[in-house]
Amino acid sequence: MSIKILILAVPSIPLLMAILCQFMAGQQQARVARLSVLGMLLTFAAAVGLLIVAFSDNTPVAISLGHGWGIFQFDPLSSLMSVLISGISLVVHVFSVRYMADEEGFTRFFVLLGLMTSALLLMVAAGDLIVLLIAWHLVGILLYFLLGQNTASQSAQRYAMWTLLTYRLGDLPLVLAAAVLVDAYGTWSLAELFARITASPDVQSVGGIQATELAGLLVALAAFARSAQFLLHTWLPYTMSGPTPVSALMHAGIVNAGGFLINRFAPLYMQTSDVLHLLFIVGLVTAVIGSMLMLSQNDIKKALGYSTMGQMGFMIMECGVGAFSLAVFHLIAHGLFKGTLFLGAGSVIGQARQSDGVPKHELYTFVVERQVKRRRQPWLMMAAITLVIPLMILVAAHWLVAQDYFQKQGAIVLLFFGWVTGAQLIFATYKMQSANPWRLFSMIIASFAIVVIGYASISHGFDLFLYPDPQARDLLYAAAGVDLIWFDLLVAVVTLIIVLGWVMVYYADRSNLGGRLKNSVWLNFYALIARELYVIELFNWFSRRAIALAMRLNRLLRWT
Amino acid sequence: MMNQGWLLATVFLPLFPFSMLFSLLARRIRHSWLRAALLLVWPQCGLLLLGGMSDVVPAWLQVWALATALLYAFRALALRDVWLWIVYMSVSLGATSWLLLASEGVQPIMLVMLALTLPLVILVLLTGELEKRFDAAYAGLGRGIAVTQPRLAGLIVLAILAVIATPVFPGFFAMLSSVMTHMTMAPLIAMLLLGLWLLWSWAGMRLLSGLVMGPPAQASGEITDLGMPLAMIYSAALFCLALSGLLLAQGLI
Repeated sequence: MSIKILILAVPSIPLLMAILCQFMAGQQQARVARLSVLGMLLTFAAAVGLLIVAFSDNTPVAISLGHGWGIFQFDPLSSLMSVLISGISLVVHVFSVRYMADEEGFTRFFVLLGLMTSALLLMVAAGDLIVLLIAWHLVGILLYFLLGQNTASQSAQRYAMWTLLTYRLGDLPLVLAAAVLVDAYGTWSLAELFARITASPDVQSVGGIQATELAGLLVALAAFARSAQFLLHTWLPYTMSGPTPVSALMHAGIVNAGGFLINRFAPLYMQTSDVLHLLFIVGLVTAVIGSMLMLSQNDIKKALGYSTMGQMGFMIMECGVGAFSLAVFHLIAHGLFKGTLFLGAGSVIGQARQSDGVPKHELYTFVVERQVKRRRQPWLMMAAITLVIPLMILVAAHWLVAQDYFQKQGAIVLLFFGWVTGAQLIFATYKMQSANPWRLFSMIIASFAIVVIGYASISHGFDLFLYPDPQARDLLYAAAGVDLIWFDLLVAVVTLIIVLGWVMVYYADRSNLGGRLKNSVWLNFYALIARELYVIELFNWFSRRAIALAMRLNRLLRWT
Repeated sequence: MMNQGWLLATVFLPLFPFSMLFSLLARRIRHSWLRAALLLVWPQCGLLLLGGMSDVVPAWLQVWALATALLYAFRALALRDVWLWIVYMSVSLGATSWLLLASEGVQPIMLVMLALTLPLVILVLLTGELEKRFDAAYAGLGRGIAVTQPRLAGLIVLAILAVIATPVFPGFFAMLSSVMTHMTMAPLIAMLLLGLWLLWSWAGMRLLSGLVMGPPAQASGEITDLGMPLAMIYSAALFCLALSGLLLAQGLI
């Protein structure tokens, strides 16, 4: 089969199936579902076919359906993303057949699901700015209707509208970015545009600002809204009134669009100097706040929502340090595990209703259940292990993959985060009391080592697949780099803070300082986090005031 | 200096406060087809008046037009009456056409304006169908028609999406072209145009959620949906509009 047919087939099949499903609206639900699932199966097969071709020959191919626009592009990034989107969509389709069986608007749901999949696949296959803008806008609109699938639910409607408005906020910078790029380089075609940017990166734009810098910033803003970065995140945890399959698709596929967009514009970011630093800061703030908010939730789906926010922050941060391919690996890995978590959330809730999950008191397990008393290791030794072992594993794994790895600032920053994560994991081991603590500890270290080695090898593979040109990879890391003295100073200060923090946590845990630390500042901080930093209240207040003002104006002008 | 032609045009491509004339007149019309005719003919009259003039639209007039478009889009946020919403959006769109005049990609302007006003016309006719069934077309009244009258609801959704310049309807490409043009000449106007686009979306979605979504009212289940032949005609019209949008995209290149 010609590769061109496959490229066109991937976004077209779900669209055709959606149209067919609409025409079958009056017929049996089972037929609609079967047709829809079959369409997704074919789409997935076509996407896998494209990926296999990309593995053997990753030369980009483009098909133009119009004069200068309507270009469909095939390259490693689009083929990889197509497999992810169609794969997750296929699982969601299959899951929905039974899940949505008794719901109102069964056919409408499958039509919308098909249209959404098609729009997402169109987005990743877009070879020009017009197609990209069309797909980018359509994803937001279709998500509104999918989230509002339950038309009778007021809250579903309200939060679907929030989502749409946030997405619209993100659509508009992308329009501006397109305007800046087309004005500066005179083409809509992405391939041509990137070739021209590489040839002459210093073209000036509005106000004498370098076009690449301005467009890079605008593309980043569009990605922030789509990937729920801090202050544009409120829609994400509140859209749980939508059907669970939609939540799965949204968290596994749609929010990743920000990471995809930044990767799509990688040749643009290679020619920027400051934008990637902004990405790093925004991503870091989002990762920290998202994780904090996740920890304070008592609703599993909302906690998963904030977890996605934190993960998206981390993904944007990876782009900010120049590790673009790692962000793609991250979004794929996150998509798969988050999709699984959402689809399994119902079972977890069911289990929680059977058992409260509160651990029994150790006196009870010792006296009544006659279990061996659980022990802990000495805190000082564990603190030392916590700090040293993850670092050793990380350094060894990365050194095995690429010896020059440590010459890149971005890589060091990511190692740093890996180290903090590993340390957190071992600290959790210390907190977990066990009959055989050394066995538990060894198992966790072994798992950590396997994950790190796998992560390092796979991300290196992604690097070679998505950015085969070593010069391009170096340019991305260089664009993310900062002055060496500042970098070293920053790393030293943050390391010191983290080490002090860990030691303090261990000491507090050992000497039971927790009670004393619960002073009013701490409680106020907790209240602030529990109320989700009042961001939602702020937006609600703004929207109510705006509508009240519009109403007052209408009265003043006597409705004319 | 503003000549009489320009001044008259500000009534037909309504700029505030002359827009109040159009609004007053529109509010008095009760019949759907007359409303539709007014929406179609009024802006074309303005364009005809401008047709004879070779002058480019002065910057201050563009600012005035944009302010009017923003004012009416903002005011549409608080509306529940569908006809009044259409009138305000028509004013906002008419005012925006002053900015479209400067865009090379939006030509011939009279045809483009026709494509931009057609979604409003379709919405007016669908509003007529709503009024026939519920005696009024009012967001919040006769709610939940997505469940009870899915064909009518679907068409209303598509028409509103076309009005608020969603791809692939002509409004999307017209706005895109206008932003492209002003980005180089007057970036602030381009940014405000995007703000206008956002307000349209907000206003449109508020109307849509009040009109189509929500729990179905008790009596609405007994009311018949739009007949299949009529629904097919409206669908065909919207499909043609989408196709014309794709043709308009060619003008961007």
